Amino acid sequence: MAEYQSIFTRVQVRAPAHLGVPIDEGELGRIGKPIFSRIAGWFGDAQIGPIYLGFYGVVSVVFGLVAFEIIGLNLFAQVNWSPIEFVRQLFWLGLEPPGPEYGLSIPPMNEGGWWLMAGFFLTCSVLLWFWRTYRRAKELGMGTHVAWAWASAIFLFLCIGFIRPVMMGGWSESVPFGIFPHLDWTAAFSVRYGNLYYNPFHMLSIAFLYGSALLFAMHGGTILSVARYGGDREVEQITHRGTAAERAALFWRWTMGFNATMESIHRWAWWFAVLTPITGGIGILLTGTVVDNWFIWGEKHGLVPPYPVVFPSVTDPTLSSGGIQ
Amino acid sequence: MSDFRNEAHRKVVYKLGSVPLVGMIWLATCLIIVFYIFTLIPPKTIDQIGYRGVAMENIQNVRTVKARDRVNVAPDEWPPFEEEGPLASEVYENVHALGHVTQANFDRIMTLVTEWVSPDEGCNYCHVVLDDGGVDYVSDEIYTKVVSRRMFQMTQHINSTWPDHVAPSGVNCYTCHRGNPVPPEIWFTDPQPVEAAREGAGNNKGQNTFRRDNAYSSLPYETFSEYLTVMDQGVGDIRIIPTTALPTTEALEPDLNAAERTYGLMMHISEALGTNCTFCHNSRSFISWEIPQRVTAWYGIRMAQDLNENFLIPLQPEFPAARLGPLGDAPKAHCATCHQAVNKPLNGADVISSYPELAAPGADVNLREATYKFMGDTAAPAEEAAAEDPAAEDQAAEAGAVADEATAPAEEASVADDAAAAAGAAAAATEEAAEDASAATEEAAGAAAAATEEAAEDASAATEEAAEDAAAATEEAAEDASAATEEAAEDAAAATEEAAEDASAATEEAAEDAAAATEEAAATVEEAAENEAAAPTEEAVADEAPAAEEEQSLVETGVENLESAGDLVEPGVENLEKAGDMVADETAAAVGSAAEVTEDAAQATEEAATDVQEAVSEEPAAEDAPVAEEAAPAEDAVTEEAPAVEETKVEEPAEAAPETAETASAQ
Repeated sequence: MAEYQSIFTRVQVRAPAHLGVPIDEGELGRIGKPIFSRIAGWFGDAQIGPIYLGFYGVVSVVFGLVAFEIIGLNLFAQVNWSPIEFVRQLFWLGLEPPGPEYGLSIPPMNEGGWWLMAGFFLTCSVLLWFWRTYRRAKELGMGTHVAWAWASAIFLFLCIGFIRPVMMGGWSESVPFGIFPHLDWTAAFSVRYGNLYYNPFHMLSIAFLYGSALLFAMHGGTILSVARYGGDREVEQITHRGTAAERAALFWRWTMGFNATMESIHRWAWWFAVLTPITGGIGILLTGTVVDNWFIWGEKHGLVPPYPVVFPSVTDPTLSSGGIQ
Repeated sequence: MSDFRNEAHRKVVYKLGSVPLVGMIWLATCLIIVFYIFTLIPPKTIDQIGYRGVAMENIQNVRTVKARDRVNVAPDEWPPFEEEGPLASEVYENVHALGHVTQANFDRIMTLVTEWVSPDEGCNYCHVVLDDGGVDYVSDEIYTKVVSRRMFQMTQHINSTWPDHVAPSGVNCYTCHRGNPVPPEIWFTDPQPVEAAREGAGNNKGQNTFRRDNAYSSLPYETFSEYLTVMDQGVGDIRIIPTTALPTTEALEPDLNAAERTYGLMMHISEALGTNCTFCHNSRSFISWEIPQRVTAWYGIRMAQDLNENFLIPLQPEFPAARLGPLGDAPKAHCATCHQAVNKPLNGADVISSYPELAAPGADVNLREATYKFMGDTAAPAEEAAAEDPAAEDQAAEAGAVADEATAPAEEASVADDAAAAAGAAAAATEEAAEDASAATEEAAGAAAAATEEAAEDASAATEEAAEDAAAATEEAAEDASAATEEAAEDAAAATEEAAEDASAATEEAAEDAAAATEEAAATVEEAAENEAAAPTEEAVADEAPAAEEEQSLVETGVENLESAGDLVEPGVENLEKAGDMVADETAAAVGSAAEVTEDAAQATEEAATDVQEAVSEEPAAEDAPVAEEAAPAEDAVTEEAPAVEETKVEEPAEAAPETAETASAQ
């Protein structure tokens, strides 16, 4: 009977479309007649709509679309407007930032100007989207946790693409737009600054990232396992701790001696998720500005375990021959 | 059975329970599929190449290794004949790179190179077939012969100079060619960034395209033009990782794209050698020198730079257009050219012990600069002709020496402080001088004095210098004819300012010598013009023969101006010396600009001299009028150049010299 609440259920309950609690819908209002989607119902609620974008939502989408088009058309131009090559090379193509010779100035369009413009529109778009989520939460009388979580992601985005380049004095420090290009940039960033794995804030960010996944799995598993006792009604279990909450808590005390509560587990999850980009952003800001080589920094501070030298005779040939034969 | 949630669940369980055979079949099928998928995964070998537990491993796909080992096989050896019989240079004509080899071994190497490089095309790939069916082995007519001679020199150079990279197996022709006239793994400069710069969008900055050269990554794919074309004197631009924990400067570079370019080059090496990063690098810190292979690779990068800079790129004029790259550049070598997917080319087979002819040059020569074109081509451009003429080379060398010396006195002149003050004082002095003579003539005198001062100092080089000085003076004279305005006076101020400093720094005798030498110069240029074969100008000076009055119009004018300039030098120099003394106490910065202008003047003089000499030597008939015609463009060239020199003095002193050289040589 509880099956309809699960993912990939075969049973979907259909009722007249639910328009939600009465709220002030703003000047633009919600648009569209709600529809029902069986596929959507497999994953969540089958009802789609009505949709509200409002002023900030519309502007955000427009700005995002402009950025998307700038990037996409630049990639298209790189394959000489060949649709086949565009599809074939899509993952390789990228829009590169300006070179170091331009510093923080505005470069010619084909020398990074398009990159700067795309970055501007994309930044506007995500900031407007933050404001939209913040306002919608307020309208619904909710807390603004989701908006601030999104803001933490924006913080990392701006650290990489704006704050750190400004601190370093050049847009060339920033990341290209593109699938593989931004991954190769990430690897090059780590190489350039002496292995980012020895950056403690990178370590923290990884810990929070993997921790978020672990917490998500632990929490989801726990709730599903007590759903038969009403554990899926989590909020009720917070105020009226029932047998589901008791069993779940007991389970974790048995297995690891400590348990979160029905409420605190959500704070754990939120902070783990939010701290992932925040610590990552701090690590980015310290790289190149405060620390130039994280491996050597790690050696100085006891972070790097020493290993025996296998070939003790090897030295830098530059020191002996000077490069010429 | 309340355990079942619904009917479907019950049915499935009951069906499996009641017919176990079907369930077993399903299970077996799944297992077979899983096992089959595992068989698709290629087998690998993993060799530990560093300390345990730090991912220092050489991982190789067994099938890839097997495939590449099939093609990386050295050809059968052919040991040398005993050293007896005549040398190749005694028997054959026009053998240079291998002239020290005995005839028998020479023939053996020729047979081998045909087998290694042009097995299908045969001897005629390089040697000319005559109409009667014979073969002209002497002729250098086919470009491949010249190129292959250079390649023999290159092979000898690699084996003798770069043992740190190629010993003990060495390299021979087959290492790169593998039976192809054009080695299969070569590279050309990528035209994309050049083309993209003309577009409004779509600049991929030489990356973000999958190529084998970047191991199919998004990294820059043609990093060779940047890193493998010029010999690296030391640490080089390839290194981008800081060696200190904390930043020591606020430099933006090397920026992250520089890191990507280095990374792209490293991916090329990895792909070319069929290895991972850890073949050379510590898995934790790429900058540490812990693994011997990294040292070998370090020498390899320098070797590639050497070969491209000194052997392959200079061959560009020899190749027909079809052999050149999209930007008209010569084919060049990188790591894959020899390695071809194995970390030791031809899997480390010894390919040099049997061919001592290729292991070292016959004589102790620097093969980087060795000549490889011996059959003079009559239609060759004048520059090449000059380069092949030892006398001309000497002249060029001495002209260069003069240019160098020209800067020396100015630098030594420890007058100096304030460039502006110097300019003002010199301008004042110039006005006084201008009263004595026309401004342009004075300018000529100043420049000539500065230049000929060097001529006077260097007695041995005096003859050629004289010719050069004359050319410079002629240049100024020609300018005089075209414009004698206030601006000219200002220009003269700049020029004479430098002359003043030079004059004050040098002795007064120098100034007098300058005047005398100017006259000598005038005499020499006339003599040179008269002299049909551009005879050694030492004689001209020794004779100090009076000038031929009926000289051609332009040269004559120049000479007359020169002579009057020589007369005017002394009063001018006196004024200048006063100015120079005034300036001397104050002007330190002036020294630098003085050196630059003097250098520029010397440069222009040198170019003009070269032009005049060429003009004279290219006209054996030496009719007066033709010589004048020849001389005129040279003068024009220099005249045009003079304002540019003055401009560049102010703005970009460092670039003045190359600009001058380019423009003059373009004439």
